[in-house]
Amino acid sequence: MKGDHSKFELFVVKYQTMVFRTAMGFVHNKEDAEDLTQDVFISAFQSIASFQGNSEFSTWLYRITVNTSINHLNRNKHSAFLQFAGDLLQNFFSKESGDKNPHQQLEQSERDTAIRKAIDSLPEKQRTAFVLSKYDDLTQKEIAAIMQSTEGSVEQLLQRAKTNLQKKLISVVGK
Amino acid sequence: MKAEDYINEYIDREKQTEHNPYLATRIMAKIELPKNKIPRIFRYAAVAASISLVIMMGIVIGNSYTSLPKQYAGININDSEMENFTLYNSDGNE
Repeated sequence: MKGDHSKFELFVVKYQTMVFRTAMGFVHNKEDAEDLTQDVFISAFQSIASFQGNSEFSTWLYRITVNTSINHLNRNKHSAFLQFAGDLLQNFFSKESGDKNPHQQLEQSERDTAIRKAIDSLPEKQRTAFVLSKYDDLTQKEIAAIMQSTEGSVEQLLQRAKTNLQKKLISVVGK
Repeated sequence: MKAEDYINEYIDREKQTEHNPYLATRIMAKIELPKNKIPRIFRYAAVAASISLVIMMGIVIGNSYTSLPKQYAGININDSEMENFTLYNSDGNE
């Protein structure tokens, strides 16, 4: 058992950034993404016996990450407003935009909130394909393997996600 | 700037967010924690049983209370009669 733990630790070290980045795409918050990463690895550890090696380990882990993230979002739908309010304040007071004047900071904060809201409002499959494509830079083939779908349908999902985002953001950032 | 550029800029900023350097340690510590073997249903049952026990004990203790009989002590002022011994026998009247 102890040997299993030390082997698994190697996996955790190797894949933690990948899982964290995907989780960030779904929750847009460092603390929540870290909690999700932890949940993903605990789930993976508990069900590692069911991994038969038919797909790559990373594909299997991505699947767990996507499912865990979507479950988390469904569970916490009611607290979305509080998260947005918190993120809005965090964006506004963040030090990263130190070279911008208050007006520019406010503009960027509003834009960020609108973009986040637009991404979050995408249908589940479009959102999954979009996050895997943009946050993890995966190819359509890899996304298709994770979503157990075809490359053609992933391409469609990405195209629809792009169109939906542009529609939703037209009033905020223009075309 | 196009909407797509803004989206990409936003995503790039989010991608630069780094996780806690001790995240792997934290995850392994959580995995190595001994599992709580008591099923959740038994934990709920234990809490409910404790509350019921406290209520029952309250009722039993409350019912068992009976006020102590008042101890009357009389003083005989008639010296021709025998002295009232209840004065000396009753507790707490010393």
